[in-house]
Amino acid sequence: MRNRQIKQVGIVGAGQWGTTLAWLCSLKCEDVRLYDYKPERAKLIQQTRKNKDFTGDFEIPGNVSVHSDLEHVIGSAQIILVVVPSQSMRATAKAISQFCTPSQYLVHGTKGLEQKTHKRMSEVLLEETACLRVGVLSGPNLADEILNGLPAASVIASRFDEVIEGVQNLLSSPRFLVFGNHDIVGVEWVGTLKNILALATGMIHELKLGQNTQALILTRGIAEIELLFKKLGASSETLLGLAGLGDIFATCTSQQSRNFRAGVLLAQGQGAVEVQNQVHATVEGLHTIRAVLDFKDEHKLDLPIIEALGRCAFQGKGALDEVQKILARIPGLEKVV
Amino acid sequence: MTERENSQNPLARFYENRDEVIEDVVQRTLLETLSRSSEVAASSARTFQEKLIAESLEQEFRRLDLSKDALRGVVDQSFWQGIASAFRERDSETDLRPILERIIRYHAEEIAGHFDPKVYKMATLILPNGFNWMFRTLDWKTLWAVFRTLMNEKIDLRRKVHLTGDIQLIKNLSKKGTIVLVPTHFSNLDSVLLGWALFEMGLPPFCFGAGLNLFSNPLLGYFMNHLGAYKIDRRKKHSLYRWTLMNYSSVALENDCHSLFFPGGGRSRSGAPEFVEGNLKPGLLSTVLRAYIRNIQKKKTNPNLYIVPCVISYHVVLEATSLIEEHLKRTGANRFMIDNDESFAPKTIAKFIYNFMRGSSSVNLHFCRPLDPFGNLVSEDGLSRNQAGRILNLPDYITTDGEIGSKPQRDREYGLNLNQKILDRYKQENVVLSSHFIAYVFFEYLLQRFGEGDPLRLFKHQTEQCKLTTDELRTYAVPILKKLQILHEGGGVLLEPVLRSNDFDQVLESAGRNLAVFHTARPILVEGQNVGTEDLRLLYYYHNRLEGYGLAKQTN
Repeated sequence: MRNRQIKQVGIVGAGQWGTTLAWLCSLKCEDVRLYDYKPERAKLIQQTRKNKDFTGDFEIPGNVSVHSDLEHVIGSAQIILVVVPSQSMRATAKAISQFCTPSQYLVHGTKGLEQKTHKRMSEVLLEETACLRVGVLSGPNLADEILNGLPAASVIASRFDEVIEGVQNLLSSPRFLVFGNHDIVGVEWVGTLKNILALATGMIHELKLGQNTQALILTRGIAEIELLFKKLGASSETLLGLAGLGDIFATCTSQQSRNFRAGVLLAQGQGAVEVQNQVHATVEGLHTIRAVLDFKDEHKLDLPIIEALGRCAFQGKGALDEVQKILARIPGLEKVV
Repeated sequence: MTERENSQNPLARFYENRDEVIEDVVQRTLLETLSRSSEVAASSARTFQEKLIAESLEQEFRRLDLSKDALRGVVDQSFWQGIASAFRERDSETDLRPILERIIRYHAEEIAGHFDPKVYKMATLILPNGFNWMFRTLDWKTLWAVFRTLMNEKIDLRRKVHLTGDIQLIKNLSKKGTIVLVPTHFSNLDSVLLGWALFEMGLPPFCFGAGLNLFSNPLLGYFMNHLGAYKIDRRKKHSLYRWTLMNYSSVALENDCHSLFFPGGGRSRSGAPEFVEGNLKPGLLSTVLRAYIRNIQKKKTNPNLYIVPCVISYHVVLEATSLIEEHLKRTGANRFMIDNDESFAPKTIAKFIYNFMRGSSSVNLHFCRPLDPFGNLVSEDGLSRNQAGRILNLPDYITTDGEIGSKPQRDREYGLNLNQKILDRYKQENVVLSSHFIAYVFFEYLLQRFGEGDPLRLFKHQTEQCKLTTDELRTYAVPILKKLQILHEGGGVLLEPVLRSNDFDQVLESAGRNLAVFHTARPILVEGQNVGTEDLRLLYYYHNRLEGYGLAKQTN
């Protein structure tokens, strides 16, 4: 699909990122269809050309149409982009499977794991649909900045070259670079593991332990991710890339990040349930900790930072005590990889 | 087989046109080779071809140096010397195509099998009557004992070999498309049993690839040569050989020949099923997709290929001792071929059959749910459906930018996906026998008690030490049996009836009885209230059959 024009794209999920992707697609594709599960809102967006709930006054271009009829949105699209919350992915995939065909490329832009199964989003898509050519779009992509025309970059990961080429062709522009990667496992995992690091940095920030400690926790946290990567069969290059370090930088340095804020609350002595209630939205980092702790037990891994976060979130342990325990460990040779 | 039956038998039709088949294989392989060389930079195309020839020469001369087959060696030597000489005398203008073609043709001639309907009919008659080909070299005492047993037991393989799974579905699908049977592989007897099973199921003969070593036995070789088997020489790794082999398989599938591959390659050395190691050989399986794409491009009426995984469950494996030794000693792929394999000794085979027919032992061949080339389950009408029940249009998978055709990178990924789906079926439709279960729990118990989790440490112990009471074993085994039963109820595995009961003593009795057959040193010895072993390595081999489900973790 290199250099071929994509004639129709279907985007499932009209949230902030879905709408942003619709705009990016509209720059290259003549027929972009955006799906909103709420008919009234779909109608309103279609009429007003604004998605007030998620993108404020940003004006949606004319070649983007908004619908609540899923078949109309994805039935004849060459590429389907799925941008829904991770816990809605399975239900969405089931709905999609009513209308999609194996000739279509199915790409998601959702970070996180399925809570019940700890499965990656592409695994859910593969389980629920007959599409095999799947991919993930991930990276440090703050939608506001992209909609304001600021430069950004992302990674399309798929085992299939043609999916990578198709999405690059669809989304790449001088203001939005799209890199390709075959390591779909690494890209999906790091997209969710970075939330744990955001929790940790939020916690250190609230404990007022300074930039040095933050750097220490972040660096050793990345080393723990590297250890997990080895067991998961993911590539270290992915961790060092845009979807890895790139996204970690963006998430952990933003105090507006949901997971950073959750880290602050953990440091104040609140448990996972209270944090979740206060943030009013899914805190992916907390679910990811659970998934990692299960995985760690199975593979006998030593992950002191993630374990400490787990104790704070789920066992009511004090954040400062846990940080001190980490600091009390006698370091051997520094191993990052 | 009548003329009418012959015309309905794709394999007979295929081999009637053997010369044309070989020509097709040669021309396809040559074309592919030239097309591959044109994919590299124009200036390197010739170097690419030279490398292919040099690679063939180097590997073939090395193989010939190690070859024990003097007769075949002379013929091969003469051919490869001819190639070497032509290659040496080339100049920059020499067209390398004729040399490439000679090599490919040589391989194609070697690979191509034969099918003789008369031999097929004879084989299907004599096989249920007692494997008598192998008795010719036996002394009269053994022969008489085997004969008497077989007569007394009324020689009923149906009683001994259980065929499970949706057999009718497979029979129906064989009329709607081409079946590709992909069994697990534990023993050299697998091919014989499968051949019998397919006949018993009323399916036409299958085309199958058999290791060249199996053709070295004159009698077995004769049957192999005339029953549609084509030769696979696993020592030949060079590209031209591999490409020729792939094309041969693909041409057979395109000619509607139902085929049988062992996708794991050789027999399992460790005793563990293929899903434990998690990798199947991509080679021959990739020809399924290749054939499917060609069928679609040719607009064939029945383009579909149905992949049928099959799990073979033996209580006792003929070659278990040498296989586990090989597994433990294994140093690399060059030790792939086992010399002096005990399964090749007629006396050993006779003893095995004698014990097998006489004892209570049995073999289970489970035919799993069929898959399409993209790993989707196929339903009774021969169609694939997605998770929502929608009928899938399979050519959609091979459509890129609106065009149907091959795409090497995409098709490789589809191949990996199919491999995984086959492994999933092996795991979910694995028929667990009492012997597997008891060997598993007994070894796991010993491993924790004496081996600190390390089999090698355990092997240092005397077998006399490795004894426990049935009560001890029961305490350890029952929770694992429960876990296995839950897995079975959830569709994660299949259990033989005795394992579905909660009668541990019956399970132990069944395992002890079945594992007592054949091996001189018994892997499990049930004596009164004690359970012991006479051969820890054999016990390890049978234990491995139940690896991959994480069962022992529950009890640890």
